[in-house]
Amino acid sequence: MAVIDIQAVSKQFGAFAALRDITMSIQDGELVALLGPSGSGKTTLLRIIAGLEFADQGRVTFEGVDAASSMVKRRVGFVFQHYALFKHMSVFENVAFGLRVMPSAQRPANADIKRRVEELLELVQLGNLAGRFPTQLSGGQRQRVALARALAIEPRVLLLDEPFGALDARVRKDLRRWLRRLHDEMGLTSVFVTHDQEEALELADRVVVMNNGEIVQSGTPSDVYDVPATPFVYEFLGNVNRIPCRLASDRASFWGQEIAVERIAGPSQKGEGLAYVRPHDIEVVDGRSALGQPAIVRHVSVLGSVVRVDLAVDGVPHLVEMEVSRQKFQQLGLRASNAVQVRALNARAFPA
Amino acid sequence: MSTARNHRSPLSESPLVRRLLIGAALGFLFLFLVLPLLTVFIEGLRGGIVRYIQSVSEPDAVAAIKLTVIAAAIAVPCNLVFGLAASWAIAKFEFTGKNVLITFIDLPFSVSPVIAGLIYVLLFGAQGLLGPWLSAHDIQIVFAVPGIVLATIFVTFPFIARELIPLMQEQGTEDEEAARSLGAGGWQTFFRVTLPNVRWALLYGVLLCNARAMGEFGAVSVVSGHIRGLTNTMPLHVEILYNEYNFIAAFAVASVLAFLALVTLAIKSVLEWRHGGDISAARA
Repeated sequence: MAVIDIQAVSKQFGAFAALRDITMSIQDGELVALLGPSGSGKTTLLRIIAGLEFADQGRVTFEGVDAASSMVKRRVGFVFQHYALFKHMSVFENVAFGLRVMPSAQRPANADIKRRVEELLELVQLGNLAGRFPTQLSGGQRQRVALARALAIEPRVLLLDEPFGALDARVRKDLRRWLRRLHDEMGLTSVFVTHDQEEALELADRVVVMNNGEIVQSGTPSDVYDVPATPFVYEFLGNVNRIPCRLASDRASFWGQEIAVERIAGPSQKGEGLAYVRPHDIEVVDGRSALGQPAIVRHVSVLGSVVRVDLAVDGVPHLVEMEVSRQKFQQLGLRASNAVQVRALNARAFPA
Repeated sequence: MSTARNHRSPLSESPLVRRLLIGAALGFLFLFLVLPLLTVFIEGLRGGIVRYIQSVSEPDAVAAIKLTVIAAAIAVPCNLVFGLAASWAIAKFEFTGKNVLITFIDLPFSVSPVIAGLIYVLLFGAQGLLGPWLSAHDIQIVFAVPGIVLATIFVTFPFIARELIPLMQEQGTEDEEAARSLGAGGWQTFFRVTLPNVRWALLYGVLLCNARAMGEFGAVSVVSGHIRGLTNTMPLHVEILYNEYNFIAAFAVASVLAFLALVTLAIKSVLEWRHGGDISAARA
């Protein structure tokens, strides 16, 4: 069942089109990542879903109710990139805020507010810091307070704007796992905005890739990573090599291999094209095999569990990156200036 | 061989230069600020404490003190409301004419107070634009208390808004959005989030505004009409006494005014000392 339904939403800021005709829906219990570079419209879309911004055209509905109604009626929790904690209030009062501003008829009694806030602070593992003020907390702690505060109003939908953007790498990783668990345990429907592809792939059930105010692709993390719809998605999600190839009708050929050409809107499907190959989809083949393209090893760097090999491949104007496991690397015994034969295990070609 | 010279930081001057600079600043301060202030109190007390109390408590002086306090008591809350509304609008919303509004807020700073007073005379005076209508309805503005209050409001107009606008602009709208997202209404957001965020800067602005409201001379002088016991504020009263060569009384009343200013200054210093961060953010 779709909790949030976005129909043909457009938004303009002056001459700049922030969103163009966005249509998507978010299902109950889903954790969706809006992924894109800055200026792609992802934050604007989140803010429109939140009701902090209004669409010029189109409409957003929450289980059939128009998003123009109040956020609390829709039970939407919003977590801001810079936390937006109330500096003059203690951690406890920050979390209690949403309960204290309820109309008196619905407002819980003080004792209930106290109990609820304490539960939430336990949940975010900050039970012992209730009396502190936001300035006395670390970034990760502040973000958890912001989450507890948003959860206090018992939202059905949790919206997060670059929730881990301002945190350092270690804290970010911990918080990610923790957020995933929280989402599952509380049965939330969550949407978060990020420009970090690793974060989107790790955390989300579904990744919505945006560029120039449009949705470029929407799918599971493995869909968008393994079967990118456009060159943009290829380049935005992870490293990729661009290999020149020749196009003939719907086939593309390079390195003696032949693959199908993806049809995208744009120029004709004849002539020059580019094949996209991930570094881990390049393989060194047996020297005697007829398959494969001649290449010279230029540089080897050991990056923990994988080894990156820069190759000068015949017919490719720039260095090609290959990633192999440590074990495979030792078997091959590659050294700089070795001559090898390579081929692509997996590739997708697009008209240039 | 290591001397003190070698250890001096590249940004500090030699002790002699430092002492000269500090001495010049202190001497200047003493000559132009401390000495005159002391003179006010000494001259006021020259005739003895009894004459001092008499001068301050005679009916015209009491009326002047009352009028000054009334004018400030009306002008400061008016400008408080205006300042909050204007800075809220300027900092939190985008609208056409924003720059015009900002320029107009600064107008009282750039216009001579005498001209400010004249504007009200030309507008509300007997020969003024609205004069005939006002006199037909028996409403007296110029040469009466309303005129004094209006002139005071005009002159002290920018103080609170100027203090709040930069701070509110720096704070942005995220806190308000957070409050709204948690279900707070407009007034709840204002009283629970926006106002506490600017409270120290607001108090600071109120103090500055109050100091100016009590001390204003030029604009009030033009609209007052100098009617003793009726339309004389403290600064005007001091001038009249002085022109009548009644030095002891003039300085006695002036010392009350100076005392009010000193109290304001003291509160301001305490605020700066305790909440320097908030206020300096407002001045940045």
